[in-house]
Amino acid sequence: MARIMIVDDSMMMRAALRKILEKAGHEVVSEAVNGQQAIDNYPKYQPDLVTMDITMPGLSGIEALKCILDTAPQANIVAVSALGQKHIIFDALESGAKNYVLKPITEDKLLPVINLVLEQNGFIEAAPR
Amino acid sequence: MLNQYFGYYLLNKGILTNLQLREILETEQTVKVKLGVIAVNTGAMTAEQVEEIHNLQRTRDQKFGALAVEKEYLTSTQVEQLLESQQEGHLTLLQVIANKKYMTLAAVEKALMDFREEYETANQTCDTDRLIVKQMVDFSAAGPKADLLYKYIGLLKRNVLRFLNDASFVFMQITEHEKNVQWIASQQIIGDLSLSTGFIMEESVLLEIASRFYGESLMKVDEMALDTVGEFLNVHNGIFCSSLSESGFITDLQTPFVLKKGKESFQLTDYRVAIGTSFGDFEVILSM
Repeated sequence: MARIMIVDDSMMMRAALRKILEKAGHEVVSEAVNGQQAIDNYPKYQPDLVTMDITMPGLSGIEALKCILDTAPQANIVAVSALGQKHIIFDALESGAKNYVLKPITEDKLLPVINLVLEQNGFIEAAPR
Repeated sequence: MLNQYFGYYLLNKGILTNLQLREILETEQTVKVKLGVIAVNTGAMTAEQVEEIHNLQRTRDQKFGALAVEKEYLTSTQVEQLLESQQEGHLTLLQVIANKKYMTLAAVEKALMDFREEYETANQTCDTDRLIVKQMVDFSAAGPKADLLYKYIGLLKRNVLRFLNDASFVFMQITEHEKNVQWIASQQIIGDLSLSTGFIMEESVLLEIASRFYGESLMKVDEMALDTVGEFLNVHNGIFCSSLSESGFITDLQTPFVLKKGKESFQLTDYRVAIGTSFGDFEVILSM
């Protein structure tokens, strides 16, 4: 289905996201453990979609998101965070995230958002309503 | 819970675009909430009834509340209650949605019902848990912030049940100042509230927490197990911080870490609470 890059400093989160995405038929083309690696990997792998953890040591997810969008404004980035506070959601969206998922990540929370972003950006056809 | 989660819910369901949600979050602080929106939010009136009153207002120069009472949709007491809640911040999001016509009132009403069904069941036991915790633990020395600490422990009990599938109990507050500890998971909450949080646990409990949270059996303390316990703490603190934002606290989380430790001296400003589970006990440390 879609080629996806996972960005999260947590090994557990990367494993959990990979499991859900691969079960749904997506291909995980890259895993980045921090913001800088995400910026380096994006042009190399050119994923259809990126899941970006917001809170990471070093370069934050928001900063990495902005850097990727500077050179690839078409990038589809879904922000992931443990914090559901308004200012965090606002910052992520204002920085260019297409959507947002709150931890803990479950299949029924993640996949509808992934599919919505892919559908809205022409990667998959909308399901008949 | 309503404000930030409802907006996020609408985004995730594709009802609002991210641009629309951003506009709403930007403008909501300047908006005054109308009684009709509050009435729909509380279920005091249906969207259809509110629209009827709005239509009447176009031909008659009367206030919403007065017309609603005349039509017997509301009592005078209900109108007063609605007027009091006009100041509540979480309703401004609904008012902005209505102002910008991103959704009809009927669509808002339906989305609110669906949202409440999906999100708000978990909050029903909050006060009960807090009362139980207060019987076992004394945070009164924390002064005005004591209630936040009770909330933290009460929420932890619910999250142990939710994520670790175990009904935990608070069984004592610990006052020893030195202890041999095996593992500490720690995370700092920063911002309007500065709170150091941590779990102290033995290896067997660490592995059990990690296995239950990850959903697969983890047999040794490796990077995955440590990371998973850190992520459990991160998720719990994230939920706590999100609930704090309803009280106006803006907070952030630093990266959690999990370390093996030896003898630890604890500060007098630390609060330590023992949590019992079917798979063993662990301690929660809170420090301001």
